[in-house]
Amino acid sequence: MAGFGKFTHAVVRGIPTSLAKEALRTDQLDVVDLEKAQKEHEVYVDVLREKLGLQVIQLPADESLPDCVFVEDAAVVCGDTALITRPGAQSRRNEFACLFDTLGLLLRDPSPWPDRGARLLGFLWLLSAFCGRIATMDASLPLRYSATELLRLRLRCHLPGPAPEALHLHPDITFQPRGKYIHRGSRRISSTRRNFVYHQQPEQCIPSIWTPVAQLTVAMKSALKEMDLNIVEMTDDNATLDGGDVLFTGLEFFVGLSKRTNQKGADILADAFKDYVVSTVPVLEGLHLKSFCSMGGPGLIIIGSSELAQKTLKIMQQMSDHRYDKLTVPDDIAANCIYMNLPDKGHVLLHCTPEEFPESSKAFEKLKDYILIPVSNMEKGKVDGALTCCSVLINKKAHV
Amino acid sequence: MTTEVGSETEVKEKAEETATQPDQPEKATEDNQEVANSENATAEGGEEEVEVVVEEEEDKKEKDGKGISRFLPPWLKKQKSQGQVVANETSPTNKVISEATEEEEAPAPAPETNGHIEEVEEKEEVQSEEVKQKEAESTSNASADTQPATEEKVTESTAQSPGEAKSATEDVKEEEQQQQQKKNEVEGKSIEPAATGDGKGTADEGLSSIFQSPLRLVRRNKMKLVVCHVALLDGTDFPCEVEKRAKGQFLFFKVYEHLNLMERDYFGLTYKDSHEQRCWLDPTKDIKRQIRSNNWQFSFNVKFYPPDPSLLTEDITRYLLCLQLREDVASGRLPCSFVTHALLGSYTLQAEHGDYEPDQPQPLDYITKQSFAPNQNKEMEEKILELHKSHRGMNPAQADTQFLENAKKLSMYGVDLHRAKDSEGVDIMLGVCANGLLVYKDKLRINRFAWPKILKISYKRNNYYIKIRPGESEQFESTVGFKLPNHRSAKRLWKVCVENHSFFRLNSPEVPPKARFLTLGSKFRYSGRTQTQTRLASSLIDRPAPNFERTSSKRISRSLDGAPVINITEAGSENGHEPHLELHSDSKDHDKTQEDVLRHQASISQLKRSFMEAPPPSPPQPNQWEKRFSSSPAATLRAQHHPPEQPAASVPTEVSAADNNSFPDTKEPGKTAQVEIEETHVIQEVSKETKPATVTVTVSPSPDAPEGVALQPEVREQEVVVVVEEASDTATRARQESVSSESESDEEAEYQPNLPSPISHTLIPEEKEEEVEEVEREEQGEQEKGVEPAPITKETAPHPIEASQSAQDVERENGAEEEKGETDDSTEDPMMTPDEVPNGHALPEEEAPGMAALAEEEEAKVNGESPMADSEPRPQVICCSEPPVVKTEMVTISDTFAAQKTHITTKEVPIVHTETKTITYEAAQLDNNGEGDPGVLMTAQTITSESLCTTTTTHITKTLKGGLSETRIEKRIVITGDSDIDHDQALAQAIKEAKEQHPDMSVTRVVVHKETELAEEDE
Repeated sequence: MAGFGKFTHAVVRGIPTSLAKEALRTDQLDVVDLEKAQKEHEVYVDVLREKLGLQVIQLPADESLPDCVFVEDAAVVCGDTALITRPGAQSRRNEFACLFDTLGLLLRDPSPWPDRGARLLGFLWLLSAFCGRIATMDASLPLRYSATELLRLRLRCHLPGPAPEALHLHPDITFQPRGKYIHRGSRRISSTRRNFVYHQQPEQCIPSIWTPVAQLTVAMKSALKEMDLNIVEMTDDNATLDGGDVLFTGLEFFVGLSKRTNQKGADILADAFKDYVVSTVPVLEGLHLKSFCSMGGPGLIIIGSSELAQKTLKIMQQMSDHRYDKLTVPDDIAANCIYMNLPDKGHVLLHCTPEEFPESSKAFEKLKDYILIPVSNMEKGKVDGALTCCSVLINKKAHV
Repeated sequence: MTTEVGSETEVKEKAEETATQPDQPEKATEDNQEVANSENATAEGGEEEVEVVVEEEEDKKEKDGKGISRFLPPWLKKQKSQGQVVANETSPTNKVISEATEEEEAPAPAPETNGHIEEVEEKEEVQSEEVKQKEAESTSNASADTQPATEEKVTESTAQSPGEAKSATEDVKEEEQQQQQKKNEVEGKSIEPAATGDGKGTADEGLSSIFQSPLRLVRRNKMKLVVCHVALLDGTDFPCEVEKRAKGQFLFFKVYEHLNLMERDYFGLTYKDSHEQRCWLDPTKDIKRQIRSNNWQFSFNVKFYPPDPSLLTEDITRYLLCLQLREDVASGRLPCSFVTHALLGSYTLQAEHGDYEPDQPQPLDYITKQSFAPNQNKEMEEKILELHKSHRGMNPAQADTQFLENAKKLSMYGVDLHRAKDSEGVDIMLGVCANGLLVYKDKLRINRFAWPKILKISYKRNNYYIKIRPGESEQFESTVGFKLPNHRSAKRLWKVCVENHSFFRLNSPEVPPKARFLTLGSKFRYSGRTQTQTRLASSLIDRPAPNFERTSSKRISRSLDGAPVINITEAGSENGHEPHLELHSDSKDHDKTQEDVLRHQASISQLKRSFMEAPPPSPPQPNQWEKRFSSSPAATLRAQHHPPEQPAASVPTEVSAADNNSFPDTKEPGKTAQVEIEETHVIQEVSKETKPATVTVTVSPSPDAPEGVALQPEVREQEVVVVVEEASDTATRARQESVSSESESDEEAEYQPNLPSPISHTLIPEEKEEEVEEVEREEQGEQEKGVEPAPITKETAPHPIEASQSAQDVERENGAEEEKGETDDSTEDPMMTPDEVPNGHALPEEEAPGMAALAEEEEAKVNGESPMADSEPRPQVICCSEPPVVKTEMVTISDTFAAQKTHITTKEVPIVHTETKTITYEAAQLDNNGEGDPGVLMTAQTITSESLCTTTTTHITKTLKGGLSETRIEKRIVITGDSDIDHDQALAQAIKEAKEQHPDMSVTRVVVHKETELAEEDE
């Protein structure tokens, strides 16, 4: 607890131009102004580097990964250990992609299955695996493809009725005039057997959202590796975890079970950070756990005032052996702040600007002895990016 | 006193015996002491020596026994041949004596015989001295001396009490006195005891009053000795001899002695039951009955992991805790990360090997031999070494402290995991820890129930239930159920929960509910000291830090899979006895919790039993069976009987320590047979009050005065508080016991976590918030929940058993209820600040008229004991009659009700006094009417004052009994409001106020009762 909030490094990533149009988002009300967003991000990085004196490692943006700026989801770092996550939104797709790729492969390229019987067996196996997946799939989640959608997509069959919204959203998917969905990446993948192999070796795989597990996290992983952190990877295909669902209080972890994070993922996190209690908290609405809360200091949780947020806080308090103070701010998203405790500066809090959330930013003034740094996050906020999403903070002690 | 006769003869026998046996070697005496393991008597200095001797004895045990018998007169031999070999073979004299005693007493199975046997057997330590005394003194004298002296050693007071002169007042202090007396005698008169070392004597005595004397644990001398093997934390095996019938505590003390451990309460002994499950040995029960096998293998383990090890007093305690944790870590039970493993390992090295020596031939060597982690590898060992280097200069104690500081933060520190399934059949783990009950799924914590949140813990077969206090927004309590693999595990979990709750949460352990009939369920309660007490006790430890050797080498052989390995090899040659036989005899004894009678047929016999046994004491109830399961009546009654809080005024250590067994009063009568409950139940139902919070402060003359026997049922809105003064005698207790018979089967048991006594509020500040809600148990919810709708008619129907008066009471209650209903509206108003609470009575001016009625009703109920007084509403008299004689009490009299038309406050009734008044139980009636002796009531007055939302009722009774006058002031403050009241504060204020007002008196009881508005729906 004593060392809570001490950071020396920050990993950030550039904003790809595809962010504006192609980033995953929960609502599409406002258009993202890319330039503004990039400007914002620059300021953000500047604050980290110049004002706070962190060593900032900036990863290059990847156009094929519109969400790549939100690095937080890709890794959870605590102490000397870094957990490379399997971000929920993509990994689910990836899972299906693999399955379908195999299926497509089987249909088109029978070479691995020499005779008809083996081929049939293989097909049946895949089908059953697929059905199994369907059963476990939560079809209600908007941004995940339903099995039917994927079936349509993959098998190029357009069923009557309007095209599923989710498919429109995704940059990699195009709706062809003749009623077929085309997925850019997968087409190539399924065309040759060689590409299929790429799915197994994430590092080499082609840039496509269909294989984003590696994509989103690959760069992160190598960056963290360079920092000599202890890297733990999620190898379980069923596990998903977004860094945005992980709240580390200094004493323990809370993992929000959201659309992007499942129990298995949380379990792996618990395994990676054995020293700490890992409690799960259901996040029924909203994107992430940290969409409405964050740490504002040792033992201080900043929490939004929505019913959901308050309820979640109650649960967290109940689950914890420790006591936490809370600072309630009127707006949920404003509750997402970055707290640091820097050796020469003391308590530092990066929070929303008064322009965005006038009420909430006032609330932060209650924090005495804090250096308050308002950071604008307006544009990124439109694509569900909060302040904490844009960086991974690392405390790397000088080597003994 | 029949007993005396017995003892006389016995003593004579003894004298004879000793005469025949020439002189007793001094050494033998010491042996006696050691074997008896008397904490008081054993000299610190003599310990080592003694131990050696014991071991020797072990070896030559058999031949010794025979050899001795050769010298015995034939009539003694005959005894021996019966197989009743004296346990204490270390001392021939003892054996002879006890045999003699046995022979003499054998024909008389009367209870007093028991007492004597126990006396003799339990007192090996003193025996020889006593014998000498007796020789010297006249026999009658001697017996008189020994009689009271033994009293304190006797575990079951009921068995012996009749014979004991002073039994009526079993106060700890007296016990202590006796003990001391005895000791003085012993030390003064005999030479040997001097060897026990006076230096330690005094300190030890102080402690010994706290630590229960082990002597009382040994029950029979006639059993064979058994060699127990206790695996200690450092990996060594500690063989020790105990008698077959010895209680668990006997073994505990042996081990503690061996370890030279003072802060003992954190530790325990485990054994493996027949299903290879690890169980904690219950100190209060016979060892043999618990282990149920001939495998006398135990291991010494930490039972309660102190949340903050730095608060431990002694290094040796910390060291032992370290050993346990190292084992936990190495076995993987306490998971931790690579870095933490390395860090902990490095502290271990530092503690055990001292500073890192660079010039050591093979530095890695000693590391690899030691296991630090379940998956130890080269990398980790290097890291450990690296960190070890950085600890240079740290002494072992510091290293241990550092180790603990790091270990205590680990996520699973002190969590005792139990496999279970949730209601949907999902595999989970239930973790019991200092703070409450944790629910894990895989490695994730998915839920947590802090102790204050838990109203009741129970199990039924393999189901385990916890009743959760309703949250702010919820109306009703909810019950969460878990499925355990089998009922044994459910019971084990339940026990662990009860113990952990008691240890960490309470100030003093609850007294297990005693019951004579209708007892089917588990009476299990934690019997040791609570953390609060143990901290207090250990703060008194005044001895030079004991020397102990830190060893690591022995630990190497520890298996990696964790738990200390206990071989299933037969413990020794002692098995002459059939486990089966044991089993049978045990299974008849339903009162014993500890025994795991539970076989398959248990449930069946259970059913039979409950059906067949339940009726006799009480006429059959139509819905009894159903009620049994609904559990609500039992629960409600229990809820009413708040454990008497500790005297809040002062917390002298003796008092708190004494709590263990010295409060004869019914702390928590606990589960009560349905039948008897009926009435109380009604009383509770009575009020559907909005939300009064009541603070009752009872002030009475200092507890030392033995006369303060008063058991007053107070019926409040819906609570019945039984105030039992400390001095209530055994008779009362017996009665209480019968009241509290319980109707649960062996396969199920309940436990209601008690409210913490006021002290805990101050002691556990970090939990304050939670405790606010926790201060009172609410029964309403239960009733409302409809678990058992119990219509009023049924309840009011006077029970055949119940005396007519109780029926009256009930009716009165109902009447009161109606009245209350009327006043309800007016009462649910403003909330008041806690600060006002205690002052309420001092501010007579601000009375809310609306409250008056309510208060008066309460008043009526308060004095419900005296039907005559109550049945007739009197004109409102606010009366404060200062009694002529007695110490004056400051009483603020407020003229509150002047305007009200209700009944009143003054009682000039002969009621007040006496221990016998239990709530509504028939026996109470008898006592009340028949007994008659309670002393002369001098005055009784009730003063009521009200403010806006508080009603303060002061009830003063003065009685003259013998030459002593006793003044009891009971103050009841009812706070009505519609928002939360800070009970802690209210309580604190109340106590403070009471103390201020009556500095010469002591606060004996404070009850805070909170009711929320749940009840309204019920109406």
